[in-house]
Amino acid sequence: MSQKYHILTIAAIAVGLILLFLALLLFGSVPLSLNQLLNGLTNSTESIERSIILELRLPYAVTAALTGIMLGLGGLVMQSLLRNPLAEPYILGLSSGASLGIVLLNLGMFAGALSMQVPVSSVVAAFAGSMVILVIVLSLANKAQDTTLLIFGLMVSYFTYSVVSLLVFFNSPEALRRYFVWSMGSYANTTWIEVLILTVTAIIGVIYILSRAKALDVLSMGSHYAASVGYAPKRERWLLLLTVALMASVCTAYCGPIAFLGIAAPYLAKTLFRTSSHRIIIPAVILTGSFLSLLAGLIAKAPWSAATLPFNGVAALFGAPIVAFMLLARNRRIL
Amino acid sequence: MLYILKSYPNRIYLLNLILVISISQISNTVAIGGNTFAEHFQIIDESESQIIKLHWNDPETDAPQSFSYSLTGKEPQRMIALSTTFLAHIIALELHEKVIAVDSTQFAYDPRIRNRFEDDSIVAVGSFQTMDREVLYALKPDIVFISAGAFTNTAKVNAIQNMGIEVFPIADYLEDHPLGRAEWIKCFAAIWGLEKQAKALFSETAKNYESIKQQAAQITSDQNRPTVLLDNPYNGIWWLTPSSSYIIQMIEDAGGRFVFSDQQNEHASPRDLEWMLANGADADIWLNVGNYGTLDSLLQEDRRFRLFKATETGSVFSNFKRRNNLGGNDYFESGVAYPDRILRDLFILLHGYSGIEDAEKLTYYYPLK
Repeated sequence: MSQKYHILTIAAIAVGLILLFLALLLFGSVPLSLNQLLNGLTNSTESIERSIILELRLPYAVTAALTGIMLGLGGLVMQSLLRNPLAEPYILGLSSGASLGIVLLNLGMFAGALSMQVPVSSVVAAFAGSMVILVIVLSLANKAQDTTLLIFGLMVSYFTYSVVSLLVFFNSPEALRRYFVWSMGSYANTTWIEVLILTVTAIIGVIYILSRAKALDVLSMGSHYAASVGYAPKRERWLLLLTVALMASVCTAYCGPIAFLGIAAPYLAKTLFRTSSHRIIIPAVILTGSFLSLLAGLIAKAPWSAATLPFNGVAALFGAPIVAFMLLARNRRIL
Repeated sequence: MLYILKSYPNRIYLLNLILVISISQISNTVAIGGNTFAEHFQIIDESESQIIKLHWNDPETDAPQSFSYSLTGKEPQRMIALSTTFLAHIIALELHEKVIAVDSTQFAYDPRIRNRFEDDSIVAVGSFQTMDREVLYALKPDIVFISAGAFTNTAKVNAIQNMGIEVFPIADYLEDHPLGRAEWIKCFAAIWGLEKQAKALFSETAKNYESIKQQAAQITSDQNRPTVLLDNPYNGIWWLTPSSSYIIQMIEDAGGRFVFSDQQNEHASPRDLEWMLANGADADIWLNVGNYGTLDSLLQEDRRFRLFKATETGSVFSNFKRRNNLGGNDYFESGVAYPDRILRDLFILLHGYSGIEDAEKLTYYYPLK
């Protein structure tokens, strides 16, 4: 694939990203004109429109972009480490562990974390939950092959979700409803404090994963091969999974268990760029992850209605046909 | 007589008269007393016994439902109440000693019920949908009160009735008026022959309610009604209170106006924060914000709540004043039987609430500082 093709593809996605970002600022439950948008962004006079743009729509758009990047990269790392295109942060139970942490926090079973500020306590609970699951999976499946690790992770994930379901089931109907709403995912709850935490986490995650691009190339050929060319696969795997756990936890804490992006973004990037080199695929996933997330986020905002729809309710509804079309097109060599 | 039968209108009249006399002789049915506000139950005197007749439309499917309970004089001694909202009537009639189980021990507020939890006289059996029939066998209740919505689970209802246990649906929450809901005390009372007590209690509640309503009507007009914002969002979704809900009725009766009164929504409908801000940021008072102690703790949940005028002016009130550590809130318990107390609180909040002195007068509400 020529460098010119890569540059053109990157430019096309980048233009799409900018347009989607602007659309997210422009469209919502309250109709705003382009003039009102520009005034809101530039004029410092207090108004409801300005508050809506700066305090609601801008954090929503930034959250969508950052979550897309982090979950997309999380999926890519998992797919490379486990050598399976269906892997994503859910597979090893990272997201379900984070969900468990959040549910325990909301049911008041995480008393220590409750004394902290809300944005921090959510992350602590989610990260603690996903780390517990990660340690269990990696300790019990330490010497297992990638496929065994994958299946083991899946079982732990199912187990964790069962625990979560039972905890919620035996709580009040109100808790059940709250959990149900939370589990559908949303970008609408982040303020600038959460956006700051998301940004810092995304920067750490992106920098670390970019720095391990070559190691990921080698690890995707198997642990034995990685060891034979001088890498420490166990250590690499641990640190990379830790980074993914951190990113998945922060996303789950603030946006709920967002599905679909972890598989769709890496797949879209691999289809468009047709390379297995992580040096190219990592930046590509950053673009496709944020693109898909912004697109689904825009549809979820349902500008034609007074409500913002749950993210998981629309992401796969519109995203799955796109990815399925690309898969078919690729098989028929249209793309 | 021949003349009467020859005239066509007279013939119709005569036939109707014969029909009415015949029907009344067959069933000998007379409605007793009659309700002032409640529309979903009636106590009817039949030839051999009294009957409680219930009729309602299922909230989910709108299908008409009905239920009859014959008052044979045999009073149930062991009852299960599968909602804390039933407890207020039961306690007011001093029948709490007959309660042997509830859905959850977490949400009951009244100390008389809580004491019975502690000595294991009352146990938790879960909701009607999750309740195990084996537990019912062990508890041997005479009657189980469930919400009318759960009564559509006919398979489970029949299975329990086949065990010789009466399943009694309560449709109080489908009444249109808060006093209609409170009047259901008469339904509970009829089962135990306590009609006199129920009538006295309800008359007192209705009299207080009407008196506050009249007081509010005297000092408000359509122009000077304070506007009220209700509830708070979860996960970005703010469920807009249905226009027919009790709290909106009570806000109107207390001399206020729900800030979204122009929205005619039959069911709770989702709104995002953006819509709420654009349409409700100027509301004078924010009520039922949830279980928050202070304004700071509310803002910690979402800092954007400061954009509402009521938050800026400190006019934010929670209805969790009477709550226990487990989450039981008396607003949802005794508030059902005594809507006059809620109305009195709303009247104070809407018309010149002035700090500590007024805060002490409030039964269910407290200000977030």
